Amino acid sequence: MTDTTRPTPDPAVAAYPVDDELVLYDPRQGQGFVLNPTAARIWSLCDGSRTVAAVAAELAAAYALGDEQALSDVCACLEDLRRAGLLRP
Amino acid sequence: MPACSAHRPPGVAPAACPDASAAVRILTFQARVCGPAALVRAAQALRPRAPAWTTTPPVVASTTFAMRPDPLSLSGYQLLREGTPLDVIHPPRALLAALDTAITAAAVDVLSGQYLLIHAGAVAYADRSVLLPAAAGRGKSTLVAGLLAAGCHYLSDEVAVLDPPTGRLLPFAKHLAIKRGGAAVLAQLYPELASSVPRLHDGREVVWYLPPPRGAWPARPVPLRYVILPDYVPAAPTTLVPITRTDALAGVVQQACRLPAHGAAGFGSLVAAVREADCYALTVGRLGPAVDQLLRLLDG
Repeated sequence: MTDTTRPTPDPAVAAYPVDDELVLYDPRQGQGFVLNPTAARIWSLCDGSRTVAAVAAELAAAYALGDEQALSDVCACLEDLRRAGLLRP
Repeated sequence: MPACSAHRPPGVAPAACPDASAAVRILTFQARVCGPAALVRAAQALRPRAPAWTTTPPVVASTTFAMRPDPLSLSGYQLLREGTPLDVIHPPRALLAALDTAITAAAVDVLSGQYLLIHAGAVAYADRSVLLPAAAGRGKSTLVAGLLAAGCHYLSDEVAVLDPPTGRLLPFAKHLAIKRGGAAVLAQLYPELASSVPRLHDGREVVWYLPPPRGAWPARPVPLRYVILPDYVPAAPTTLVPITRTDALAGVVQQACRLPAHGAAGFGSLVAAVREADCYALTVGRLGPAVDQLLRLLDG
């Protein structure tokens, strides 16, 4: 995954907001995942139109983070989501 | 000329049940139990009659269980499901508990296709239901028995039934299965435990079957309003602590039965039900304070 990748949720994955968190369910795995508010925000920004860099920029603005910190957090989160099979590519 | 019996068209019929039989209904599941009359009567006595409104829908699936003396042993009994031996039970006093376990397992098999089943205790109070999901040994049955003695309605001590379209809980008709530690704690609330016969459960653990108190069934399906994750910790202070709905959901999912078979729609129903609930973790050091805390919550 690079800064210019445009991550997209896997269409099989269902998302359910619960309070300020987000619960994802992958019916193929029969497995649920809980995203905390920050990860939920990142997930909501991954709509296929934004690059990883753009997602990081929006996160930096939302949480008053430095660019480097935001990019690092976004990459780590996207990697977790990708490994869990929830995200494309 | 040799005598010739009258011709009959070929046919296959289930083997006749010996002596006696009885039907046990749990929602849309029916178990037919047959065997020596005294054993069938004793088996019937170990299952409560389900409230009539839960057995109005037609039977979706029926399973026949038979009990018969084992021809190869002096004192053992065979337990058969649809004519196939499940086990030879020694000693005979374990037979009824094995049958009860087999009926519950068969009911769970069938009902888990129609409902979301959760390994949980469940009670109702003032038309609000409380779900108590927990692994075995966390004190679900004892806690449910304590809540029933305090006036709650009974849904289950082990298998909670959630109706996905409505998010309401339905009763799963079974007696409470009280283990040795629970029986000691409940002795004052349920004096009848002292005179009831303990059963050998799974061939190793002694349980007392406690019928739900008269009038304990709710009159209708009950909306889910509380998810409480109970944990029995001997001698610990009893505490009731709010938790996030996602933590509660994780506890429910962990105890859900065959959830993947329901797909995203089933998971979504579970999420929708938990979204409407207030959620807590309950550490039970002693039963009395735990029941008091829950009643204060339900009264509030």
